[in-house]
Amino acid sequence: MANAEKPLLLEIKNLHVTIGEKPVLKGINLSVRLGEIHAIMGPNGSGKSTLSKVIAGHPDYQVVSGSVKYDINFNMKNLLELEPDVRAKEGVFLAFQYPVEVPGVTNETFLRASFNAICKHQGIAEMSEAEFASFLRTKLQLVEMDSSFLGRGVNVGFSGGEKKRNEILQMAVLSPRLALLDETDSGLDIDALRIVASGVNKISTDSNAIILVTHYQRLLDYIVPDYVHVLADGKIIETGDKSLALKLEEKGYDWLLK
Amino acid sequence: MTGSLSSLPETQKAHANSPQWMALSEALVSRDRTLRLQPEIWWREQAIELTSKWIKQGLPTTRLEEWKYTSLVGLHARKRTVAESPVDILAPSGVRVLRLSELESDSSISIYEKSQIRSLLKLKTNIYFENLAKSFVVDPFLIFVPNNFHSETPIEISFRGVPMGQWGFAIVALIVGENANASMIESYGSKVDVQTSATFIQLEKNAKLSHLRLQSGDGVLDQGYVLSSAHVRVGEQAQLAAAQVSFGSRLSREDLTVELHGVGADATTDGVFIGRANQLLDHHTNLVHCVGLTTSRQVYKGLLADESRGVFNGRIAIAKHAVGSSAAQMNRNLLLSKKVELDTKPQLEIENDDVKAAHGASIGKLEAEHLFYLQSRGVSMTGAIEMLARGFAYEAVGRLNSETLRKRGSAAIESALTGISWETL
Repeated sequence: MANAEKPLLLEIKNLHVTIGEKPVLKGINLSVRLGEIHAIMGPNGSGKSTLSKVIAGHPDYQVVSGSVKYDINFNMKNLLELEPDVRAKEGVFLAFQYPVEVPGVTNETFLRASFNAICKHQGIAEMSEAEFASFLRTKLQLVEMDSSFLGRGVNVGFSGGEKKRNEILQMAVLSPRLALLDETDSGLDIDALRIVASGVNKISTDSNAIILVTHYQRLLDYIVPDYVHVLADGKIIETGDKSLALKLEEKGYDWLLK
Repeated sequence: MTGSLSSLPETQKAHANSPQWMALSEALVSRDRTLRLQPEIWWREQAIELTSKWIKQGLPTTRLEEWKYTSLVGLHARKRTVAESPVDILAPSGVRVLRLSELESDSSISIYEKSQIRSLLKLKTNIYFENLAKSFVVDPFLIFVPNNFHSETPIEISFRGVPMGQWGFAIVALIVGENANASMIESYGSKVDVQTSATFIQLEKNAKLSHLRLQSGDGVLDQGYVLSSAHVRVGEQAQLAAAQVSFGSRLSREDLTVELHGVGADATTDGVFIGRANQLLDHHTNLVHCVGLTTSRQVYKGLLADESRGVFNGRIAIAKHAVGSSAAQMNRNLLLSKKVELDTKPQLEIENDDVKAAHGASIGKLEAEHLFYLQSRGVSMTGAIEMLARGFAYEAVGRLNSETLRKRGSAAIESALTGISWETL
């Protein structure tokens, strides 16, 4: 278990969220400290993806009540009042379940625009084209991608596995404080899963935290979580350590839902 | 030389007394005298024939299917005299540039090349302003790219502006020899009152041409009219990779005709038009698969801001004997304001079953999911809109197979998008 003395990064209290009229999250409570890895599991339609999208600021969801607070300069600030780009600039990163294709914008241009926007916001010197190019190439190795990926349109014509690796590449470049991985393991073959997991493990440090949304225990063979939460019908109904994931693998969700 | 204004069809009578039409028809009548100086007799005869046809027809009106969305009423109000537009041509060494009047006596041009350029300039079409250019231009520019020629340096053609009060005309014809690999940039539409340029191109067997057309105008306050055309014949196993970038002038009309007339001929004819203020940008393309095993693909993009209007009419015709051919066409449009208007019309005419053809059109605004993706990476909303719009437009030049042309094309797009108003829809 992670050290409870670690500073708090994210604190969600009694969060209720709807999409249109339909309630999706019905009272979520979750605290995440720096250095922690949380896995969120649960049956289809339980609200797992919604939670990560709400934290990142997806415009389709309405927060009805509750709060999401996030550490900015040693103060717990209301994350919900920040625009999605400002959240990203403050270190929130969402690895998409279905990464979007952006034709005509190359991966390298996109990464550099994104990286520099974040640097500028945080008062760090932006990198020149050449500096960024060499920095980027070191990150490429992390996800075993070759540099031909950089000249291609963002996610355009990428296979499912390549899109997911590209998300991890972006994460490695932007080095977020809070990384939300929304079913990053779905649709990956075993090699891609290993590459993605090892990328995530290399990024994980004491000064950031990771929330993994996943269907399968399989990913947790590679990335060992400090906490496993079970989300069902918009609520966290069980929290445990990594052994909970194994139990779910063996018994399914039924024993919890009864 | 015959023809009088009273012989105009009913639909044209409204314009019969317009200052512009009067000036034009006077010029048409007197054209015959100058053409007599042209040593290529057939050119003069052709001009005379087209001229008498023109006098009967008058300027096109919106009653015609081909001009349904583009009214030339604004053109009639003011009188402009007819002039031959100066053309600057820069060509890499090995490429020969001459005038039609020099063709007969030039010994560096083979009999075959001479016969080909003549037949190219004799092509009969229904393109209004292509024919009008043939009536007025006495001495077209001719360019010959020799067989097996290869150069990274593009042929640069710029149709120079004409002063206010003039309607400038120019014709350029180009033959790309067997196995040659060439590239070409045409720029026009800058500093013009009215400009009509017609370009004719023939690709011989196995020839490759990358072709960028930049209709760039002078900026937002541009009030010129551009009525321009390009006509390309693609021979056996030859490849055309073309892109059109249009954003200048008050009103522009582009007519592109591509004939795939040799087995295995292939054409990419992409394009983008970027409209702002009260511009009207009209693009008509016509791809004709004359023989079998020919392939074509086309992505046309429209990006409209302010109160601009866009027209895309994309015809693909696959002839009866053109078996095993394939054609793919896509027209995508991005509307950046509620006051813009776009008319898109794909037109597929297929006369045999053994072909693959696909087409589609979309009109939309930027997708919320795309914007959120960029925002979630730290890019502001405005930055995300700009980035997506750039990416959308850049695709139009991405398939040119010359780095130089792709760069020039993207730079033109960049300048067209600078300062555009991104109304959040």
